[in-house]
Amino acid sequence: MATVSTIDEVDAADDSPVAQPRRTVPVAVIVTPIIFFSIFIGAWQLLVRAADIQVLLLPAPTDIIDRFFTDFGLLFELAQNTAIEAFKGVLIGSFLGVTLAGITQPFRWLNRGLLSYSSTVKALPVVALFPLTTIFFGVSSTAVVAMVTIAVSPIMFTYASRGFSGTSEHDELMRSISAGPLTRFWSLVLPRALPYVMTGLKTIVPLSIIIAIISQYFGGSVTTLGSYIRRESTSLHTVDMWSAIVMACTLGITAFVAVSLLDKFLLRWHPSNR
Amino acid sequence: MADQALGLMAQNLTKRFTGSGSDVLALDGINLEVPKGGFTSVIGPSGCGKSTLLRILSDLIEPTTGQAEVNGKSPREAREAREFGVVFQAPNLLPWRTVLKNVTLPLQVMKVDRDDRAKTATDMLELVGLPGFERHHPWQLSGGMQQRVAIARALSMQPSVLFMDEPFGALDEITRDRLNLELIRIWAQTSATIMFITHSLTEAVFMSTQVAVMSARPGRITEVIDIDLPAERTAETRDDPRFYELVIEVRRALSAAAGVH
Repeated sequence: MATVSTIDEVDAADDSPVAQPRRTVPVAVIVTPIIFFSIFIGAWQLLVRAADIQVLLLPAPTDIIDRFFTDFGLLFELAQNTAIEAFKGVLIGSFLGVTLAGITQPFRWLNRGLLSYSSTVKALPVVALFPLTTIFFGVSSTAVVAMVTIAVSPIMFTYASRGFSGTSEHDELMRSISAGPLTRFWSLVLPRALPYVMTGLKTIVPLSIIIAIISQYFGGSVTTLGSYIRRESTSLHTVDMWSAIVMACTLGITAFVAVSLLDKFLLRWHPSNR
Repeated sequence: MADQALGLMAQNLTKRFTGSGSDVLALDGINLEVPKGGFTSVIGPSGCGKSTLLRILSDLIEPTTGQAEVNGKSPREAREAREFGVVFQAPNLLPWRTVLKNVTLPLQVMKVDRDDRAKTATDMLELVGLPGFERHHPWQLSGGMQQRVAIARALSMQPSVLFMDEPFGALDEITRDRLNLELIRIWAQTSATIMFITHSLTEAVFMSTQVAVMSARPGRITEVIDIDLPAERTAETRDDPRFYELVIEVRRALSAAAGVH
């Protein structure tokens, strides 16, 4: 049989002057983790049942999942409140970090000086500061938001500074067409910094949820995942504690997937996404 | 007094780059005149300062001494009046913008009405042989197509002068030959003054009305050769015996320039 190219193929060839290979996800990336996870959960289940471990000490996965679904309404509400606190912190922290990076960019000495501060802050165990924020904001939701803000803004500042300090041949293009500072900023400087800002966001979003939950262990609103986990653990309601942990993991993964999708959308043009 | 008929003028231009422990005389006493509507190629070995000359005339850098004029104005005045466009070595397109939005960028800077922008850009894309590619992104195009977009962008301001800094240097010879023909056609349609930097002998002779030959370190113009080929250049021009004579003449001038020191 002679090969006949279909209309589809011809059309595709006309539309894409440069061949764009489709990206395929290797099977191993999906299958291998699933196999390992199943083995892990299966072994856990077997161990608990075979050794007859007390539910107080270590509940079986089926017990946890069972509780997760029966309490789903409550857990979802807790997760929502935790997410809101983390999200507020991300919003304020990103705004502060990016704005400060943008404002200080023309002043190299100032930007460099602040960068050494932000590097130091990143190395500090910031959660240890939580009792301090409660002194300012009381044992409240605001204290948690403040904690997240403190943790994420230096990270965002570092990434945004790197993004804003970038130069490229496009600077000469802007000069050659005598572009004003506003056009330069919106058409070049900001989009050029966006990949760095998005990398920062991908770093701080999962972190913000960790910081929020740990802060909630110490106080703040009582209807959050952190305070619930702590309460249930001290009351030895181990299954409830575990089901909340499952919810916390779900929240973390969802947040990361959401920010990755946002990244794919905003950086469609970036080499990393094609 | 500035000669009104001159598109480009360089008088005694020197450029010295001084850095930490290094001191390079990149250009030494450059004199060059390009009449309005002329097509001048500047040819020379790598690092001879031909790009530096273009960058001074297009006001990307300042000369150390000497005077440069574009349309009888200082390069800065000409740039601010948007009288010239620059096509760089790399296409230099903004990857986050579509082809159309890349071409409209200069018009956006000039605060041209949105509809007029799109119309001009579409016309320019047609002129460079890329109709229908408005919604593509730069990375979806080949190198030659990207450089065409860059030419369309430079032309969108309808400049009377076009600076081209080895625009086809990174392209294969077949694509380059085709784009040479296209550029000749565009030049005829826009009647712009063109300064074209290249290190290809045939490219320089084929398109230009004059070829300036440069020597390296310090960069000097050693010879300016008038290209007396018929005004209308076609693919057949490359078979013209006179074309070969001129290529040989330019090659001799280049060798002579290399033997200066």
